[in-house]
Amino acid sequence: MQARATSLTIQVRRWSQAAASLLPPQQEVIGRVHSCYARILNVHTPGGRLLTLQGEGILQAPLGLALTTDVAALGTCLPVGALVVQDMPLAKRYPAALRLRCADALVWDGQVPAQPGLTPSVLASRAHGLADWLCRHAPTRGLTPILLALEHGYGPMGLSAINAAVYTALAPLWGEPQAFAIPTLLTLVKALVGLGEGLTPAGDDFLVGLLAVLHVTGFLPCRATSPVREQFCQCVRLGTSQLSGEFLRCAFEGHFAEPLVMLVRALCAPATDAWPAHATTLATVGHSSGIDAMVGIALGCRLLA
Amino acid sequence: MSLTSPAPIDAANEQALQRIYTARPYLVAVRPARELLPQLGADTILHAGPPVAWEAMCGPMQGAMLGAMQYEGWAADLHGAQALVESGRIHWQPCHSLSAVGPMTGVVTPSMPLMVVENREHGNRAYCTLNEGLGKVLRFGANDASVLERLRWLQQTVAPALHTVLQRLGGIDLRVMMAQALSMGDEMHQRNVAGTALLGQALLPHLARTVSAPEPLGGIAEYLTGNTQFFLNVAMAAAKVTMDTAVGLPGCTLVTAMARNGTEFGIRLSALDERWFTAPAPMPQGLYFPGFSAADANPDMGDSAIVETLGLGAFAMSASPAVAQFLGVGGWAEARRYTEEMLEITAGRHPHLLLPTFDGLGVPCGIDIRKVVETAIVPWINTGIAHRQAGIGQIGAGVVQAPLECFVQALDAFATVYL
Amino acid sequence: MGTYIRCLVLFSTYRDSVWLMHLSHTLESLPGVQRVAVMMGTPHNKALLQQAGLLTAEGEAGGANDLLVCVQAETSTAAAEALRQATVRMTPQQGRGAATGAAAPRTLETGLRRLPDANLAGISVPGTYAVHEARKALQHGLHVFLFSAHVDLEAEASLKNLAAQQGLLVMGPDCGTAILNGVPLGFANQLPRGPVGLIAASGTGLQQVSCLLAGQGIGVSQAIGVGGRDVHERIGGHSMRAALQALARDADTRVLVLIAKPPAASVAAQLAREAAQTGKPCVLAFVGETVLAAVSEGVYPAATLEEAALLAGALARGAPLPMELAALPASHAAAAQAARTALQPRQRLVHALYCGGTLAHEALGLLRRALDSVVSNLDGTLGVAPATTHVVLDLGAEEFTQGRPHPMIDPSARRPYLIEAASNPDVAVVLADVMLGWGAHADPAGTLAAAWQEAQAVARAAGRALVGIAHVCGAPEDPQGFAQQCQSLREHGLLLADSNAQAVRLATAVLGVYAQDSPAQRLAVGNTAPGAAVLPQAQPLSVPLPARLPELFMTGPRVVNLGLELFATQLAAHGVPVVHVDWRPPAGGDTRLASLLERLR
Repeated sequence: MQARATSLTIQVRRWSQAAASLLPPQQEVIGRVHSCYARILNVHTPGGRLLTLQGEGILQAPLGLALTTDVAALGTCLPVGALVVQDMPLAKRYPAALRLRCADALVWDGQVPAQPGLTPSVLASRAHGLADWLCRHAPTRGLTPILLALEHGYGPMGLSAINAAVYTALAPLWGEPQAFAIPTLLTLVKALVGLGEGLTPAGDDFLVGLLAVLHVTGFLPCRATSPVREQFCQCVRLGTSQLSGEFLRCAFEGHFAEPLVMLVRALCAPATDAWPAHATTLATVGHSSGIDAMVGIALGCRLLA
Repeated sequence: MSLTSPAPIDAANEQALQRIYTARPYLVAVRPARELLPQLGADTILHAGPPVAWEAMCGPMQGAMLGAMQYEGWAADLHGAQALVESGRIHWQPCHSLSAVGPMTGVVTPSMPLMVVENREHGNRAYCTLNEGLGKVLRFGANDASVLERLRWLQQTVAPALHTVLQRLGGIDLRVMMAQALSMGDEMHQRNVAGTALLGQALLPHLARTVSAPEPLGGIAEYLTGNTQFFLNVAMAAAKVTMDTAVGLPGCTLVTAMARNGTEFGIRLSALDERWFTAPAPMPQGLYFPGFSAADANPDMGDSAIVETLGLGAFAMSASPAVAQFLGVGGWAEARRYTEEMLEITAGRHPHLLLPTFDGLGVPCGIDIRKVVETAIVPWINTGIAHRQAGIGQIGAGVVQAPLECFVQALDAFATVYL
Repeated sequence: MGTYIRCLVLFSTYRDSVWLMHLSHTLESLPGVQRVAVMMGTPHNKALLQQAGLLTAEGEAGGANDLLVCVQAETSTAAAEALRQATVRMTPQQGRGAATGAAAPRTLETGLRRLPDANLAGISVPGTYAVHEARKALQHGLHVFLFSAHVDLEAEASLKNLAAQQGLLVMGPDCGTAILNGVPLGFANQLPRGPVGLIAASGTGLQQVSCLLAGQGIGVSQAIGVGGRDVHERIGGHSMRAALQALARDADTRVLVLIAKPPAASVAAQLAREAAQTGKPCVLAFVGETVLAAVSEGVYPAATLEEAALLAGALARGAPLPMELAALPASHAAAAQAARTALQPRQRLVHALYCGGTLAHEALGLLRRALDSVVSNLDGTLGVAPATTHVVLDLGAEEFTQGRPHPMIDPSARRPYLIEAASNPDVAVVLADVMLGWGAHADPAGTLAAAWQEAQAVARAAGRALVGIAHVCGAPEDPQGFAQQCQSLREHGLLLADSNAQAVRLATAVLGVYAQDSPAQRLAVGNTAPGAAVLPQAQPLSVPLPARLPELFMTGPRVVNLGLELFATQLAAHGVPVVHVDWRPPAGGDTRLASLLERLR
């Protein structure tokens, strides 16, 4: 592996509000390169957060920065551990491999604030619609098979090991309809965090989808007291990778990746015809990450209905 | 970095590089050799490469000599020329010895017109013949009537017209032109399309105003624009005048000339002035025109390696992927490798002759014999391949490597003087 | 046909899900592979894998940020191949410009153009040229990791002086092991990060101590090799003392360990003095030193590598220092007894066949304390007729490695000596070391096991039993799979010791001969005051700290590699910025020209 001779300076085209809030203009050091794969480059901040650098386009992570250049080529010349700084005069003294110009970056708001008008019946119908869509368009992918199993009480027979485990964690909630509460959330998190294949395990993606619903219905953030937050974060820290953990942590705070935000906003809007297109987009994310998040959204809607 | 101040050799090399970088060659005139080279004896013919005896000359070189004698009027025909040779009254010496260069056989006689390139920074001059064009030409050893006629036409029609234009223009900045050509895909050895076009662009308006009749104007214009290798001779003279500024610097281990006469390959070393270090000329490797093969090829020949000595030609191959294909070297990636390899053996990079397709920095400049011997990486040269029989002409193009032996000899000689 | 489960842990490895799926499918389609699971090592995933019967001890070691590749296959080879393929695909395809068509640079200078912020030159070119390249590297401001041997003392002294002027460190010559900022250079093990700083004039010595520490769960801050002759009188422990200064000030290092074969007396005294001045507890492991001079408080002598690891471990944990070591755990003692009974009366000899030089040296010293007439190639006592004496062979020594790879890379070199020992009716015990880690053979235990089977067959045919004792010098996270390697040896009937010293004790137990201090072994440190460690007073240090060494510790190595390409590949696989130089001997090997060039610099 070779490092490039000169330090690279690249403009950030667009970033999420959450990412922007982590990098105030006077902060010189952004962090160190944590990992690089596909068209993604993750940077570990001194504060322990993971920023995701990508090329132009839809922001794939809640702490996402879209650069004006293709990141795949960038990754070949930035080894893990390489220093990333903001492009400012004070930062010139750092032997940084990458300098990011954040000054004129467009800010994208990646939150799903509470929507009015999400009555139980609306939620139930949305849940049904999304579950229907998943069973029709991606019946065998990711966690979709458990939708049918849960609906009809088939039990975990015939499901893959991972799906069976998720099913087992969710089945009790189907038994008796009850108001969704924080303890339920924490129990689910404990049961599902870090479970599954892929860079973001299926359990984590499911939880992200669920958390999106909790925010859009207003369940969170008002119930997110310090002890609750602490418990959640500890569970995540111990139970899954740093990368997936970052997505979960952001989800808890109400920040999500762009494809998910677009779907949730469309799903919860009064008009009901726009969301399938966003579902299609989200379904292409990762191997099954998008699908699993949608299963989380569908079941989340049902649980809160 | 280094603990101590630069060693004397490095300082001398640095000084040589500065002279090379600051040289500003201008094409200023076209005049007969006897006028430009007063030291040229009345019975002397110049040739490309290091000194060589008649018996050792290759076929094309002998053919060119015989033709030159007829052109000059010293013999009426081939027989007469042959007899003249046997009489021992004719002498030959390298073009390089009189600040001249010539492609292939590089034969120069007193009446031949030579282009004059003047280095306006340091004041020295260098000379080169007018490129005859393609086909049956003296530089490949052809010597029949058509060849001689063409040579006379160059002498009587083309040369004076060009000279007039150059006087009007006050000279043409060749460094700028070569930099431009480099950015347009030329490497100035086997590919001179852009340089020729740029030169034509500069000359034609003035030619049109100074040559009154449609003929010879048409003929001259056709000559200038129809031969895509015309700029080669110009680039050679520019390279010669530049490298000459580095001759004779004490302690300098940079190569000031590389040249071949079809029998031997020779190099000159800055610190050791005009001494030649020679080895048998290698055979080029490349692509042959239809009907020809390696069995027909003549060993490497010509003073054109002076462009590589400056850092053009094969050294600048990354600027000219088209030439890489033409020479059978490969594509863009392979072309780049040549330049990269030459960076291992050069002391600097020319600040004005830039490689846009590489890293935007200059061509590898200043071949250091120490680095050549240490790494065993020798200079590559892009070259045309001549038929070994006189007069048939170019049968292909390819690349050739300078023999390591020349550099070893030079290093030994340097050590004898300096250690 | 059984089933073989193997797990590969790829630490801190992230790949996108599509890629992971692809890997999964690729491995599944390999011949002999039955099941594959590729997932992050989160607690839930490991539980799943456990339930599915796919998790091994190696896999257990993976964490939530590590990628687990678990494979179930019909044969051990198929399983190993699947993991190898996974490793190959994981290595980032950082071309030396392979994609762009750039050729590898040919000299250090052009290498530096490609990696201008390099801070270390890795040099493994032949000794005659290594000095020149090392000097160039130092003049360009690079620390030097000098693997090459055959560098004379004067040249070594001059290089180390130059390094001192430049504020740099020369690790070598003949230095095969270092771990800088967690990055293994040369032959080194995959160690956890922790508070122990090691400085060693011995590669395998460093490996043994650091692996024993890793086995205790204690990690290493930096492990610095200084070359076998650094502690020679002429060199005066130059690099060792410089490294000592650096580690004295390194915040991550709390305990120091110095490892070497016994240095010249003056050097030993100076090291002890300077160690005492660091303000940190320091273990002096001068292997084979039987007479230990009195040392200051805070400096703890150890006579064996095993002792050194025990002391360093206790110091790192802040636990009381062990004063004694049980000669053999009960199970080992029992096994020795059982093995002993199977031997014939005339079988009295031990043949020790070592890959690691210092381990051989240690074994020789220890064996000589217990047995008469032990010969070795280490000290020229290997006479013409070794048949009736105990033998210790260092198979990595020059006489055995002419024109063939070092036994750490190719352990099959040991086989003929094993067969020879088996054919010798007087031989009772064969001792062998198995070296794991980066750069070493992919399956040294397997190679030994195979050769051992052959040897046993030879002995059996002659109606004899043969006792084989091995110890695996490896860390739990080594690429070869520590547990697997041990298991493989046990399965083939070798007695497994936990360390080199213990292996020797086990051998003497089988022979029915015990060392002086049986049954418990008094440790050298018993000479000092009992109880918890006492920290020495820090005092101003006499040797200047190499100014540029702390930066190397902090940011890790960025390497220009001249010589063996496998070092560059290894570094690249660890994500270290490295440029490999396609080095050739100057002047094509013509020594006359080379010396001429030298004078014309």
